[in-house]
Amino acid sequence: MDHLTFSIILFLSSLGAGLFGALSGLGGGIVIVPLLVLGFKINTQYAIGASLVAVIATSSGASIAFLRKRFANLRLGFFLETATSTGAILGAFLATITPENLLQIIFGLVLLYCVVAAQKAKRVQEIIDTKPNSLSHKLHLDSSYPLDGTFQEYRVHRIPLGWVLMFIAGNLSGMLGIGSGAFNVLALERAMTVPFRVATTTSNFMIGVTAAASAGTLLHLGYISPPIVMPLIPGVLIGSFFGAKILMYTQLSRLQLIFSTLVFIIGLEMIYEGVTK
Amino acid sequence: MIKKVDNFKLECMISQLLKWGIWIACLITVIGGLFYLYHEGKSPIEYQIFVGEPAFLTSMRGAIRSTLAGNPEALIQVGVILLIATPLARVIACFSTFLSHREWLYVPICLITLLVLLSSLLGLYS
Repeated sequence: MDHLTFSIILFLSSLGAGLFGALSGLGGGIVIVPLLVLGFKINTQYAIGASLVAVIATSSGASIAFLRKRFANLRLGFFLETATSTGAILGAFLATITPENLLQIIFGLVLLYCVVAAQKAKRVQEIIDTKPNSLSHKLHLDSSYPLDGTFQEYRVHRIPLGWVLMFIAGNLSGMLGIGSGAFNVLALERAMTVPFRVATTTSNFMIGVTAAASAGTLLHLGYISPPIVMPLIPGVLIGSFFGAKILMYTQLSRLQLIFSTLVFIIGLEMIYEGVTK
Repeated sequence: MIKKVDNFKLECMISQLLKWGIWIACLITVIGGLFYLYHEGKSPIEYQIFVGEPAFLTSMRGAIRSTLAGNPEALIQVGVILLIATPLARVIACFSTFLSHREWLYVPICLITLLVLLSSLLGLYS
């Protein structure tokens, strides 16, 4: 395949990837690495580097901004970014020393996990814990979010545990080239008792910084190849921009089931690829 | 209630502008890409095996220098590096907002993230 054909096909596929990532709520990164590895047979390390750059682009997308303003707990985001960014750098190093097929297997497992976790998250009842927590208070993390016309207060708990979990989420992000939004939300919501919508928006807020931390390291190690990244960036930017717009106006729960199934299958394929290499 | 300046645009006005930075970085990448394809469009891709990018593509300095020397791949990389640097710029913006609003607790917290990001971008870990 020559570069021109490659770029065109990759651009079109990344439009789809961006759209998919936004509509499915599963994030862009998790489809880009499989797209490059399974679809274009590109070396996994190159794929991870490229995917991280794409994740930075989509997470900073303008469309998320308005939601964020009302729901995201930005201080919590900044606080946890100390964990995710350091974790991400470690993750980037892990990517450089891990054999390619092992990365693929881990990636596949993580995909499966993301799908399962996303399904679970939708069913479990939200428990809002307003018990005061001194650390939450000291760190200025107590906050509230709009609910049914008024503001619901909440507190953040198990902060040290949450910090460690976010460090691990950062590892995964840097090592696999994903946004690891699913893990962020899991840690925030389950461990730190942050309300769901606050968790998702705060997670979105953190993803860009996390990805940038590992992308910077991988850049200097030579893992970011311009010709691969070049068609990817405009593709995912435009794709996720429209995906987010569509999401604002439609309910997609049934479609999301199809998407989740697709991602599940992709996860299995990644594992298969890693095992048979 | 708590400390926070409530109307506090914690989104940090500047960070809104930075979203435009993403699109500008994207534009640079695409322009570089078009030049690159003009030269290399017909050559085959070889990314199955990892070789590692040459030194002039792994840092901003190298990329800018090579761009000025006429290398389109380097121009793409300039756009990419700008893109990677955008979250850093946002952290800096918010850091200074915390500073100017005297929310002292978050000044060092932001600073840590800022330093981590900066050192990664400058290749201190590579």
